[in-house]
Amino acid sequence: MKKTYFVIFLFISVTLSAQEVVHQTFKDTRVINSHSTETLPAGKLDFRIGHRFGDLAGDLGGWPTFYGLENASDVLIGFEYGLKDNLMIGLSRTKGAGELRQNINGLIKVKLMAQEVEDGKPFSLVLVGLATGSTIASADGPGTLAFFEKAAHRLSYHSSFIIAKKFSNRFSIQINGAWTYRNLVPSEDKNDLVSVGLASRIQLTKSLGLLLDANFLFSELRTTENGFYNPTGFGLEWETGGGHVFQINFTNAKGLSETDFLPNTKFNWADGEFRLGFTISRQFTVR
Amino acid sequence: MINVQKYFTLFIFSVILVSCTRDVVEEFSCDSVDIPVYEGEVDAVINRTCAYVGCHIQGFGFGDYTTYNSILVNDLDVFVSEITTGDMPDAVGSGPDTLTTSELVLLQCWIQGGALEN
Repeated sequence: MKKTYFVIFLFISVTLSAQEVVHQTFKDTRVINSHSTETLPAGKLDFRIGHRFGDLAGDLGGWPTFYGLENASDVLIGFEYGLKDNLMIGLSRTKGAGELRQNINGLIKVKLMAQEVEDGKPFSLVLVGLATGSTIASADGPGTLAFFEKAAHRLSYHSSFIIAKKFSNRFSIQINGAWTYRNLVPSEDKNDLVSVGLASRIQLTKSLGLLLDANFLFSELRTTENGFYNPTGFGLEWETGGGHVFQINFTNAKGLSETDFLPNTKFNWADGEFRLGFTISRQFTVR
Repeated sequence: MINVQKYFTLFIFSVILVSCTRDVVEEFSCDSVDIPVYEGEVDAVINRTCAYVGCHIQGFGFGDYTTYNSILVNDLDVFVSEITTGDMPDAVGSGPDTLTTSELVLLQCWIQGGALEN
C-alpha cells in the first residue's frame, strides 16, 4: 500500500513539476523596441509612458539640444490590460516619428505556449498584433503620405511571432519574425515589410541586467545606401525593489511602435543619430 | 453569458479585413508647377515655418534661414529630406509642426528648379 502511495506521489510530483512555468524570461512586456514574450497577468492594468529623446550627438544633437534631452522623438502614453494570464490587449497614443503622426495603437498579444521547467515545454511562443491609425489632419492635396484619399490610408499593421527561452536566471534570448503592412506608402516603397528580430537579457549583477535588441529588415529598398538602418538598441535595467524595474536604453530608432520604427529608422549610430529612452510602467490590480 | 473575448477578437479581425488597401502615393512632379522663386514666395513659407524666434534665425546652431544667402550655406538635399520625411518642421519650436501640401510642393520645386532668388 505504501508503495502505491509513493508511486502516486511521485507521479503527481513529476506531473506538477512538468507544468511549472518559467517566469520572467524578460522583466517587461517590451525588451527595448520589440515586444518580449511577457504578458500581463489576468486582471492587471498597466499604465505605460515610453519616451525617446532626440539625437544624442551628430548634426541635431550635442550641446544645442543638451544631447537630445530637450527634444522628444517619440512619446507613448497608454494602457494595457491582461484579459487572461496569456492574453492581453492595449491601447496607446504615440506622437509618431515617421510621416504619419498623432497615432492611436491597438494591441493584442497572446501567449500560445509558456516555457516550463525541467523537461516541460522548451520555450515560450507569443503572437503580437498591432494596428496603428494616424489622426493627423489630411493634407490639402496629393503627393504626400498625409493626404488621406481613403480613411484606410491612415492605417498600418504589424504582426509577429516571438519565441523565447530562458536558459538560466542570468541569460534569456528571443527571436521574432514579423510582417508589417502599411495601407499607403511612398511611390518608391512597398506596402509589405518583413523583418526578424533578436533580443537578449543578461543578468550582470543581482539587481542589474543588460538588454540587447535588434531587428533586421528584409527589404531591398531599406539599405544603408538608401539611408535606412536596422533598428537596434541596448539598455540597462535595475530592479529597484518591490518588483519595480527601471530601464534606460539607447537606440537609433525614433518611433516607439513597430509600425513606426520598423519602416522609418533612417538613423545611424556612427553619425550620432541615437538617443536615450526610458519607460515608466505601473501596474494596478483591477480584478 | 456573452463571450467577450470571442467578440473582441472577431471585431479586431473584421476591422483589419475591411480596412486594408494596397496603395502608393502618386508620383510627385514639379513639371506642372511654375518654378517658384525665393523673393515673395519661398521666403514667406520659410519665415512662417522655420525662421522665427527660437528656431532657424541668426545664431541658431542648426542653420540660419533668415536670408536667401544664409539658406544656401546649408545642404539643400538634407533640407529636402527633412521636409519630405516630415522630420521638419518639428514640434519643438513654437511654430507649426507640419507643412501644408502646397508649402511642401513650393519648397521642393524651388530647390529642384535651382533655388532661384528672384
